Amino acid sequence: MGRYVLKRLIQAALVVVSVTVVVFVVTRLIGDPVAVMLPLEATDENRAVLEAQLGLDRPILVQLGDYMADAVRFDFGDSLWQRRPAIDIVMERLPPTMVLVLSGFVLGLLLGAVIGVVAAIRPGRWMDRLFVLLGVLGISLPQFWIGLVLIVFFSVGLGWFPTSGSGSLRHLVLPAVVLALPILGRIALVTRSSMIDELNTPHVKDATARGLSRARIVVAHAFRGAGIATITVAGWELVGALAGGAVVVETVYAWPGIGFTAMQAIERHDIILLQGVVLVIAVIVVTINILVDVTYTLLDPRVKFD
Amino acid sequence: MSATGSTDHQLVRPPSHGWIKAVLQDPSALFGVVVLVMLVGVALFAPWIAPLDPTKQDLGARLLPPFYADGGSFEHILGTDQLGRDVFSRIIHGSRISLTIPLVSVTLAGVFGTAVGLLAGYRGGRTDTIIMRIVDTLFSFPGLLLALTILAVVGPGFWTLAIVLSLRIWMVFARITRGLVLSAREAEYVDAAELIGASPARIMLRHIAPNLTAPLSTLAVIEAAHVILSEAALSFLGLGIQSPQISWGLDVAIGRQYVFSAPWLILLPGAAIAISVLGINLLAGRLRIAADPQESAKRFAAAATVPGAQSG
Amino acid sequence: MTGDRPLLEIRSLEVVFPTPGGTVRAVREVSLSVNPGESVGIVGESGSGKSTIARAALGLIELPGRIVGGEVLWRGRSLSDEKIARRYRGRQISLVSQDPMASLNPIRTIGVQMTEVMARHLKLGKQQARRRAGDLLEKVGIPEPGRRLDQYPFELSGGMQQRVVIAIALSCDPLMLIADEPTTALDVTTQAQILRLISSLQKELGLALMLITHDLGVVAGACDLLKVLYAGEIVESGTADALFHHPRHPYTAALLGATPRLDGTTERLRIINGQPPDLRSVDIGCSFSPRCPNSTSYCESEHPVLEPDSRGGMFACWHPQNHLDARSVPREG
Repeated sequence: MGRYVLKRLIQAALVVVSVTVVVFVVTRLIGDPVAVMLPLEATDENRAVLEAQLGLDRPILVQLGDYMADAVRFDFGDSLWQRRPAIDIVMERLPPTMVLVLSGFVLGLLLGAVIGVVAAIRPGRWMDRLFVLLGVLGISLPQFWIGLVLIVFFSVGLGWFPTSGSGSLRHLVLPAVVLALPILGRIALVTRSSMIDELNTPHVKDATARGLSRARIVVAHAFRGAGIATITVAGWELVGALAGGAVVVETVYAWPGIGFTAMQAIERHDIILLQGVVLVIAVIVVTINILVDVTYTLLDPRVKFD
Repeated sequence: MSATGSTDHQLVRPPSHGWIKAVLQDPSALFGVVVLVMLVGVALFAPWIAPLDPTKQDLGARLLPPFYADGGSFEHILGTDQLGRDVFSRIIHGSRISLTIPLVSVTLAGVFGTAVGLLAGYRGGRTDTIIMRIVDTLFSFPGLLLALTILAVVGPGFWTLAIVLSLRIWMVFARITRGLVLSAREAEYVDAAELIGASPARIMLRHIAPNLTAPLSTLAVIEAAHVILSEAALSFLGLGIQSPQISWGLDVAIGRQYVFSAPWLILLPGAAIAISVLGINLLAGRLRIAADPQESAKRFAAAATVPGAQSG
Repeated sequence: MTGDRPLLEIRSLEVVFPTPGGTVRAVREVSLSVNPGESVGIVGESGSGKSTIARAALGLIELPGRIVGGEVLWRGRSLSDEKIARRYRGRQISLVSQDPMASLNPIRTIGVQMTEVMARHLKLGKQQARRRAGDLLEKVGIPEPGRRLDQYPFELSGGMQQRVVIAIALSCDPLMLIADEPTTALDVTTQAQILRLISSLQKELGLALMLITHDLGVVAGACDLLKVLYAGEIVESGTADALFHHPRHPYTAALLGATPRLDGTTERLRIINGQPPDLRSVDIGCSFSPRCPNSTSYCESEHPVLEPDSRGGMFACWHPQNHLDARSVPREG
């Protein structure tokens, strides 16, 4: 168990380091940060000043070394836009994102799991077909579009919810629902399919032969097994919501989180802030992956011994 | 439990074979086929189908509503945008991006990912370990955010977008291909072929490739839907397709400023994305069943279920 | 204890399974009964319908399979009523199935899997059920029962797992045990132990036993009565003694020839030529005729029915092994 955790931690560190290197390569080598940051009318002198300020006039490996050393301490430098440490801005904007992502995630996970289980109990029947269609809809509707559609109907049309911003529970409803949709869809489809498999295993059939109630078989036997697949997908979906969905949904609803900040950073050519967002998200992503792995070992006793 | 106790032998007819028939009998898959055929048809013949030039501005006819709304007309059947451009014609032309971007991205990712997966699965050992470690690491990358960063730094455009999107999905092809190769290798006929001394290339082509076609083409369809969504989202965020090129996602972004006065500018191009992706995903769902004999049998069993007779 | 009324009564049971290739008639016109304390062996090749009969006896024919004729009665009450069947399953009729690894839930402890059945049927509390579970494990010969309760199935050997399955089956004091190939998934030495265990428990507890197997050797010492199943039909039935010493149906005789002796090699298993028939197409004639050494063209066109013979058993054959009481079969030509 200890060795397993250690192995996972090393893998996680590897992911963070590679993300850091990729971001470095993209921003410093492929792209020209100075050109991106400076206005078009900038002079060569302006360029030189900024290059020196960013340390871009030094050898590339030295730059990488410094960059990594700073990244380890979450020191990405000052945001060009707000003239203060990028990490401070990221940390300020992280809580709203967590609130949004976790509400959407919990909503999608719970509803998706229930829908998947109910659909699997009688596969091929109308309820199952309806739920499968619902699941496919969830993963098919573009989030930015459904977000705007909800604004058109519920905010503009009915006036039930504010069109954008944050601060109250009413502000949270629409963005959380939009964030939940693809999670709900994927979780429902995966749970359904693994529940159908699980309900057809010999051990579930034999549990039926022992006279256990249908409810107990579905919940205590089949869902326990199917839940392992659900957890895997839930991990991916949480990562997707954080690193993708949040950017789109926060932009649509002007939700002052980390994704919205990333878009603001891009608009203002603030590469330092953007970098900060990407690396902090990368750290959260690997943490989620480790948590998923730990959940595995709790759910499936066989994993520990692998 | 169906135990009627009666002796009427109500026998269920065997299904017709062939996946084409199976698809046509499944309403959701049929919907998917129709959508896909329409998408390809409209994209190919866009200039002939579109009633007007999608980029022609007519400031005298700005923000005209579609035919179904008050003040709408059939002259601009789906209304006009803030520059007086015909929305219907723009949607028709926008289909080209929604077809070409996935085509390019999935081809790139599919070819590269499959090659890597074949290499890992066939060579095994250290090669496999290293390749799969890289693939696993890439799976843990914050996908869309990293794509945004690359696009923001490198600058958006058709090819950058297509390549960035393929970078996000090639690992899926690699992982699936490797898995398929490993299970195909375990099959006895590959052992036999190796004993006879067939060359690796020959074994790959003759014995392993046939097992890959069905699952990988299903995967390509699924990933195409994925890419359409990502393209639309990135274009919506302003980092994908740039004006004057036409993309549904980009048009929704433009329409966003008119959410109060001209909601059709959001609703209609977005609906085009939603319907396309929904259709492709529904088709992919059916293809996945067709590609998997076990799934097929299960599906048959469910279909053979006589209403009123069910377990538990 | 041994009353006149049978516990289990199967009357003219017909079960079909629709498949993509056509409807399979898995069980055809099967009738049998099991009295209290009696042990009945059901012998047949895989695909002969024997497992379907086991599941029917639990009221558990699963979709897409359907009972299209006949009935299954447990102490006079029809098991096609799911509500009734659920009351008896695991309580009065218990199942021991083929592969213990597959029969137990891999991710739940043995203790939980044992106690949940007792909680359901006997309404035992947690502590009581656990204590009883420990006693049961001891009874089926599992060392250190207390420790086993907190272990997972994969931590036990196949033989130990099967003992756990048997303990669960016995946990609610059933009247009848259905053992469906209980030894097939085990290694040879364990097979004998498990078989002895089932047999001794059956006698000790006065259980009725329905032992289903493809191997006549398995039922040899364990069963009073035997039913030989071929292609979904009973082709011969009678006392174990009679069938072993004077098999009438050529299929029974062939099975006996194919039974591995303790000294014998597995070579003898292959003695029956040919394949079991395709159950989608059998209708006219005797199903066994294509593989039967005694077959004539009459056998191919006329279906033999199960009729009593002089030994008190029954068989369905136009040209039985021993011609002492051969039926009047019209000669072809």
